This record gives sequence, C-alpha cells and structure tokens, in this order.
Amino acid sequence: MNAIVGAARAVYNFVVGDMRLLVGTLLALIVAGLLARAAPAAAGAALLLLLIVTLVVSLQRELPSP
Amino acid sequence: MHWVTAISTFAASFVESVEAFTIVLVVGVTINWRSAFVGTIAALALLALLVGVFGTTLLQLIPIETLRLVIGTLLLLFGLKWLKKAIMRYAGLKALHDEEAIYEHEVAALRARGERVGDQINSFGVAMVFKSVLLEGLEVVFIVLTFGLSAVPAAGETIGGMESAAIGALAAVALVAIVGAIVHRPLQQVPENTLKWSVGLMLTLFGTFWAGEGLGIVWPGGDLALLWIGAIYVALSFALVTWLRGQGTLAKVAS
Repeated sequence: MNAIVGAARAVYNFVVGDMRLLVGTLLALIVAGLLARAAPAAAGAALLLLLIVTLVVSLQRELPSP
Repeated sequence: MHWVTAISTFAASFVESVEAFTIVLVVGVTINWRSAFVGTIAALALLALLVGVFGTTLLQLIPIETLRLVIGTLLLLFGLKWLKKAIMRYAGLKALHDEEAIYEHEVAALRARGERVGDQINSFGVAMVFKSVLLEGLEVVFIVLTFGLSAVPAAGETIGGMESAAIGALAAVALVAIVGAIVHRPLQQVPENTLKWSVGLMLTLFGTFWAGEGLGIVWPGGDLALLWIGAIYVALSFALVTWLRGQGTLAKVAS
C-alpha cells in the first residue's frame, strides 16, 4: 500500500506537483470537452480562459502575505 | 514521381516536424542533448516498429484524437508548472538561480563520486521529447498513408503515390533538422530563466493546442492558431510578471 501511495506521489510530483494547477487544468479540459460538442470554436476560447484563470489563481497563492 | 502528393505531404509534414523539433530543441538546450536524442531515438524506434508491424492498417488502429488528448494534457501540466516557476522568478518571488545552486550541489556530489557531469540522462527531458516526437511522428505517418493511398496512379510513373508521399515527408523532416542544427548554438547564449520560460511557454502552447484538438475543438486558423495562442500566452506572462511585481512591492510596504 505504501509503495502504491509513494509511486502515486512520485508521479504527481514529477508531472505537476501543484494541486491547484492539476485541478484547474483537469476542470478546464472537462468543461471544454463538454462544450466542444455544442460549439467547437467557443470551446477553444473557454479552454484558454480557464487555463489562464488556473495559472493566475496558482500564482496568487504564492504571493507573500502582507 | 507523383509531384502533387510529394508537395502536399512535404507541406503538411513540415508543420508537424517543426512542432516536434521545437520540443527537441528546448529540451536539448535547457536540459541536455543526450536526453533529447534518447527521447527522439526511442520515439522513432517505436514509430518504425508500429509502421513495420501494422503498415497501412495503422490508420484504423490508433485513435489519434485520444492520443492527442492524453499527450496534450501531460504537456499542459508540465508546461504550466514551468511557466509558473519562470514567471515567479521574473517577478522576484523565487530566486533566479535557485535551481542553479541545486545543480551545482549535485555536480559537486557527482564529481566527488568520479562521475561525468552535465550529460546525465534526465527522465523529464526524455519523456518530453519521446511523447512529442511520437505524437508528431504518428501524424506524419498518417499524412503519408492518407496522401499516399489516395494518390491516383498515372501512366508511366516510376515512383508511385506512397513513395512520393514518403519522399515529401522525409524532405520536410530533413529540412527542419538542418535548420534546427543551425539555430541551436545561438539559443545556448540566451539567459537561463528566459530559456526556462520559453520551455514552459512551448509546452503549455502545444499542450493547449493538442489537448484541444483531442477534445474536438476547432481552432480558428487550424495550425496557424499556434501563433495567436502563443501570442496570448506571451502577453499573459508579461502581464502576470508586472502584476506580481506590484503585489510583491505592496506586500513589502505593508510589512
């Protein structure tokens, strides 16, 4: 069990290592994927917008507290 | 020679080769060339094996949309991580040379053990190059098969449609490799964080584009969308660095 958790953690750290980036990216892909069936061009704009928001939120958390 | 097929395949394969070679180049310059070559050779070997075993049935066997989505998602995750770190370094939220210090420490440890320094195979670099070359290589294979099979044989032609398509694709790959070999030296003079930012930018750009295609998104302008998506990410990076610098200064004043 420990080996599985360790391996999963190693893969997570290797690929992204940031929970906000991981969740935001996956959410952006899910929303864009659902939207792509109805409006393929608008889905592209939604994907870009959600990825930008993901990056901004992730960076905001790194700011020093006043 | 089936010229229309050869030229069409050349143009389409050129775009795919540029995409793959961009990743090879950034990994080669920022990590090391050994990792870039290992990733490239491993991907090309797998491609050769797939083509050798399955031949023209590859078109039906591999769901290219799923492959684009999986590889695009992984590139996106890697890319956003790199982009975030580079933006933080530019904004002064992270030391510019933190990784250099870690690297120097590792180098000293390797030297102490009598090991060679600088050209160790890096799993991240190999994985990046392998995925990108495999995906783009498969797309080139699909282009060759599609154009080659659809070429109408003309009387008296000694080189058939499939051969013409393969020649067109090989010429495109060779041209991209030659241009890449010429430009890789000037790239090594670029500052470290600029290179790391460009790696993050490229991975995020191609990740967005490929994952989007895998999801069924129709990018306005087709492959040219890479230009405007790239421009958006460049503008975003500058805006975020400016914003973070301002926020960091405010935090210092407040404390």
